[in-house]
Amino acid sequence: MESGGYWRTTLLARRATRRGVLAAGGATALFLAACSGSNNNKAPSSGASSSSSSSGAASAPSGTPLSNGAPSGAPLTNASAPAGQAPSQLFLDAKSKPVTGKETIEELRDRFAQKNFKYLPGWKNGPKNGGTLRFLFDLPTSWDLTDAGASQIASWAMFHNKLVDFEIGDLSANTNIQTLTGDLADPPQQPDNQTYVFKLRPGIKWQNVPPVNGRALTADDIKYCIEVYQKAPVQGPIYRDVDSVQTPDANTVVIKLKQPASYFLGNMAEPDNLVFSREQHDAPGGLGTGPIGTGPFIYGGGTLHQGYKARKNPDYFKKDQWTGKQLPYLDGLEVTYIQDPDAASAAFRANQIDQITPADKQHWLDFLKTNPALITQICTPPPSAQPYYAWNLDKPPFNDPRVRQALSLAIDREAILAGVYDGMAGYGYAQDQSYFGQEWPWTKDQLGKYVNFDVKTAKQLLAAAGFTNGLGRTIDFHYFVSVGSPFDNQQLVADQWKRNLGIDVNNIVPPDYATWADQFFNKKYADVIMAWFAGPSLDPDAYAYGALNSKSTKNYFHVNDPQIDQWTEAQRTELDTKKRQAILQQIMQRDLDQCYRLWTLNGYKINLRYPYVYGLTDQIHAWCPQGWGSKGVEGVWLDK
Amino acid sequence: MTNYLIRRTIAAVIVLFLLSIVVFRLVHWLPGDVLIVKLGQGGRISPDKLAEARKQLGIDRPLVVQYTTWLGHILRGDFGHSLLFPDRSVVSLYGSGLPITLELSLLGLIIALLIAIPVGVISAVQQDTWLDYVTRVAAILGLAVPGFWLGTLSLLYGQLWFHWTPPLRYVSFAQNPGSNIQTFILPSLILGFGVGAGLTRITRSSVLEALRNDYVRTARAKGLRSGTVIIRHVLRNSLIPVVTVLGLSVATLLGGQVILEQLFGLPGIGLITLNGVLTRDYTVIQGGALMLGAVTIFTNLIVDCSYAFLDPRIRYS
Repeated sequence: MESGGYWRTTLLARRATRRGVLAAGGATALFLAACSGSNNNKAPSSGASSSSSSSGAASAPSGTPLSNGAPSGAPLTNASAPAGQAPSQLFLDAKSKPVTGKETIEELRDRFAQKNFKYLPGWKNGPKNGGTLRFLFDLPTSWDLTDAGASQIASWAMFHNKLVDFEIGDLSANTNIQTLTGDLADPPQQPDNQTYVFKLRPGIKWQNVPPVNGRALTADDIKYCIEVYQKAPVQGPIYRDVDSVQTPDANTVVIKLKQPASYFLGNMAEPDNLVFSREQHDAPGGLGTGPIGTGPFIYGGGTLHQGYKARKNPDYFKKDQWTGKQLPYLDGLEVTYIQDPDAASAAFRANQIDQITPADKQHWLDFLKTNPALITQICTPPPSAQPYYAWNLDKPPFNDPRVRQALSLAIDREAILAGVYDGMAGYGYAQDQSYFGQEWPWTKDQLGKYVNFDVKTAKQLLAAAGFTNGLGRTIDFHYFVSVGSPFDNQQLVADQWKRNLGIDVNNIVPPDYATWADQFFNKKYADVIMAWFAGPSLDPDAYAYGALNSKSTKNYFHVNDPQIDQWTEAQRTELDTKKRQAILQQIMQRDLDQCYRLWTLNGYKINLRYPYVYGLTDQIHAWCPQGWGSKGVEGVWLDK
Repeated sequence: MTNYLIRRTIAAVIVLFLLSIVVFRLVHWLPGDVLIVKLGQGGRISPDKLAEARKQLGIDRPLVVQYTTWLGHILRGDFGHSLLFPDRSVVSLYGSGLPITLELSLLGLIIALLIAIPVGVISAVQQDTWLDYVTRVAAILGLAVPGFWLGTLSLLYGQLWFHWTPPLRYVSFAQNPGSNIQTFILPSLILGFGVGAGLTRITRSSVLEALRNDYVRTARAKGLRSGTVIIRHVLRNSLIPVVTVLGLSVATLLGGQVILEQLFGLPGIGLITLNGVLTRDYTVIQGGALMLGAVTIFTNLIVDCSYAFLDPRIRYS
């Protein structure tokens, strides 16, 4: 998910009350803004060269996860076809086969899997050039990539490139799993544990607009960006271990680290690392004047709260890694801002836009009733967007693990799965399961005993902690700003604590995102608060060290566990994938065992597009075309 | 009249000054700030960078210092820049939204008046007939039914039944009259219906009261036709309360029709102000409140002065 953007918007067309709409007005874009990714550099897919190897890992690049035969959550295959063969029939819409709403999640995942998209009829003759993709979004708060709000700029990555990227698109092997790929450079060589050698691809030019005027990109441009980013508030941590950046020739960038860093390459693929030019950075107005990069689209101007346009970059260097054809296929983008979810739905039904992300299953089914020909993709949500409940760990009663464990055991997650999500959700936890070779969701076994529903044990734990009737007082439960399924999830949790443990809960629903953020980030909540994001990042480090190490700025919950501190430090410098996986699993188990955060369920991502749209898919870490998936528009084409 | 205007102007300045203090304090009481919004959920940065960012935004200073600095700029005509969109001045932000809100308000008002005056007069003249009952029920409905509900239904059924939705983007009338009209037709009708309902009731009451006066009986006794009596004598005297309500409506309308703007994708003043509040963009909120306050005061002044025109007995000294 990894969407950036103050507007977030999206993204979240929810069945909203007026209050919810007003809350969503601020929150939706922010929701889109948070992106997280996991750093799962799997073995290269076709066309992408291997990332560099660590010493000792003969067959796997450093940080690249090997499949460890994780027993559950393995990718599903289309039941009607052996792997790699075209299915006898495709049912990617509701016209060829109705969607009743009674299908199991396994059936839906299999039927609407991205890996079936390569068999869509349009791919027989291959991509066509031309057309304008129309979707919903807005302008960012600032175009300055080095600004404090720069993490949101990922939603506008179509104007830039970075050194490496992650795969996304119809023809990707499996977008429920992270795959590293090249962008400005191929995945790097690693002559040693602390050195990354990037070879820039040939023929890369800046866009033909002032002040860069179409000149060639050089290694010095990359060096300049990294040196600026090292001092930037958002990107600084990514480059904290960079010791030097050398440019032995115009097309080679050599990054030397102060120490081995298992997370480094994954972080480099994050959309925070968009490459900009020195000329623009140093000019009056700086990067805030607009997005100028090497990317597939050139910004064509826009108006705040109305949208923007972009046109094809005729000098774009990249060819489609699967078809070999020149990118981008589209002539342009037309982006419109619609804040109201109902208005957005009406616009999509009227074919004024080409793609939409339904808020939940019911919205999806409603769309299919009126537009049965729409193509659906069901994708797994990212590790960065797994809802959880954070405790105030600094004071009683939640400084006692038995209390936290008891409250977790008192939640009937299966009831929430059935009642709130109608089966279209899974057990969540903020760590990148695809780093361990499996697709989301986690299984109950993997998430430990405290995700079971066991009121008897819960009461025993509370009694052992000294509480025989509730918690002796009313606890404050701060909701996250949301409507629809996430809101219902919270209500059910509060209700179950009351019914099962007699705990009186004061439900505090914030009127807007800023109120919630003030409570959460400034640690003003007294007891429990619901949160949505971790990371975001493409590497497990963000979900381990970032979230749980006592020295981390993103340890919002003040976890202070010396064992976790030791392990989170250790995994940062462990380049052997199997060993790193083992350490990460220890961290995960400790976190779950101590219930430092309470995990429930998360819904699947649903991407709806018109049948003439190709190449527009979500990926585990990305909603497309917004958020971290915005770069994915370079491979989109229209069969109109 | 001149003395009256001078007194009103002095009073306006005092009111605006008090308004600036109240708004400033209120917005700074809201939890959170623009930086926390800007960072989003993924952009948490180190404490030193956080402090640096707060300093750049100017929100690290004591409130008194922030207020006096801001007020000093206002007195020099500088409303400052948006904290969230630093390349946009407050004036340009509201300036971009003003034509949209003005157009929506004007169209809504025209529709409201086209409904209210004739319907109110007919209802009063045909008091206690079926026509009167129908118009009164319609007026109640107009007041009771929320605009956002009507708007949502109109979008939904417009698309389902007629396969039509308004254009996605606002364009000015000069750029594309057809698209502009299509954009505004639904929200203007909804707005006009709501405002017109209230005006209808006021018009009806005023006309009824005027009809009972002796001069109306005299005019009829002199043989004037009913229409002439209504238009030349009754209506003018009935308009004072209507103008008063109209003046208040203008101020409300110019404050922005947030829900309708949001629903129909019109980035007017209401939406700008709402987003300013949600994102804690202090300069936008404060600047907008002052501008709207000034407009309200000025509108009320015009309304008061118009009384002298409508009723020659009214004179300001």
